[in-house]
Amino acid sequence: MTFDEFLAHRLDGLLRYATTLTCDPHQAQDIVQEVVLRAQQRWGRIGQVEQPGAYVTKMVTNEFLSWRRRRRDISIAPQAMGQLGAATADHASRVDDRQVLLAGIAQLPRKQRAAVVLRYYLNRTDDQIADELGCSIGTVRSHVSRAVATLRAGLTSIERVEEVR
Amino acid sequence: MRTDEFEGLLRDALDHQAAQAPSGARVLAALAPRSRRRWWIPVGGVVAAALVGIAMLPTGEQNQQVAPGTSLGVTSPAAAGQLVWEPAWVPPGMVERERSAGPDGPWSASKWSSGSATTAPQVNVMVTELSQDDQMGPDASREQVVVNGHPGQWYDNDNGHDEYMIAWWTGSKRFTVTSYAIPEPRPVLLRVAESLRAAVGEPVQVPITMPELPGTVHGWVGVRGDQPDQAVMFSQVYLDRVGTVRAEVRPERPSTEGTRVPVRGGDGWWYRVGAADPNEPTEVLMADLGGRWLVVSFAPYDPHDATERLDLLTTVANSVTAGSTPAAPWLGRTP
Repeated sequence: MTFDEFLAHRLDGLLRYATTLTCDPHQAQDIVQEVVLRAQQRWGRIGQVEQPGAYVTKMVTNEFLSWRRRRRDISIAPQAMGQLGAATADHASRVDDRQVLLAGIAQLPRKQRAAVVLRYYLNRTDDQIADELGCSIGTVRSHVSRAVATLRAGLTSIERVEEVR
Repeated sequence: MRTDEFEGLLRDALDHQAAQAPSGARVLAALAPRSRRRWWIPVGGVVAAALVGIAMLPTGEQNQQVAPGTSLGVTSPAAAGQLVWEPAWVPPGMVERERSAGPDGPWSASKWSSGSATTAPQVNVMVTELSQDDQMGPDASREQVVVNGHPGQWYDNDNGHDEYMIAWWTGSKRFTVTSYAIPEPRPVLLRVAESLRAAVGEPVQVPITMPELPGTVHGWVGVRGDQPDQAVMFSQVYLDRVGTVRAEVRPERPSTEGTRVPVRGGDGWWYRVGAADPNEPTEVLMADLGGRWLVVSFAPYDPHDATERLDLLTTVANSVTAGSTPAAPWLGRTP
């Protein structure tokens, strides 16, 4: 597979994956652009591995995990916060579950967020996530369970508010 | 909620997030110069700069500013800070009861309703100045609508509150019109949206300062009331995962007194109520401001949260500074 063929097949998927990780299309674009530029330079080697797509996906994951140390903060999803702000501005906190979840995901620690995205967006197994994040399976399960507990708590809190209206 | 239901919701949310992904055009553009001769790079830079310049021209602004009732004369960039966006039509019986804004000006809103009760039919108009990181147009997940020729989308929020919204984008702004408790809302919202116009006016400014509170996510300020001589100004902050703290300056003494407590070097009155309605605070502290009244309240996100907040309210009440309530001749008016 040539680099151009790889891009034609995988670029959109990489951008979608990076968008779920960053909760921000612009930062996703920055990350993918940087990764793809590096992959292009190393394509002679990457093109020879068994699954170049998985390899470059992992590059995106690593870039996301290290991004904060080198660039500006990855913050809460602007559109999610914008929607929350719009909803709360009338003092009613009327937000739907998806918006609450997206805002919650955007506030998760990076590794928890990556674990959730790998599990529920890319449908990876614990083994695969552990390999992707460079940690143990137990740590993966811890990341996922903590993240899920946080997200459920946020959702429950909103549901309680909704129930008594 | 069952685990499988939650996981389904989570997958749906992530799919929705993924649908916001940008196109690969910029990535491909960044790769392209590397396959060409080096002398193209500075040329490409110039072209890119020109394209950025073109992209930054406020072409959409020109369109948004010819809305009904707006003259081009008031839409120059120099005058932009003195514009407010108003509907030329709202449902019969509705009057303007509130104007609010983000503290640093990224958004402004007005509330129109047929009664002061929170359950009264209501229309909210909001204009948000977008940053480069914001969503700049409709996404593929909602029904598309067009407002005065501008792309928008329809939000049918099925959350049991008869809440519906139209959002549309022009230039660097996002407009939303939201309805509550209005039957058959679509034609109503479209008519309100299409009537929106820019007018010369002062954006709402509220001279209340609040102390820095731990966990503050963001805040907003506003003026509300039923008539101009009864204007109430307020400032409100959201505390992450805890609730909201609101400081109001009212022209008249509140009716409920409660327990006498020390505040601002004198006596204040504090009371707690059950969380019958999350729109209402569960705890209120009132203090005399010398002819006006300061009312600091707390509304928890979790209505079962019974933690007492008297210390928090006292801290806020002791620290708040309040200037003159701004004139609000628009309170109680129709378009």
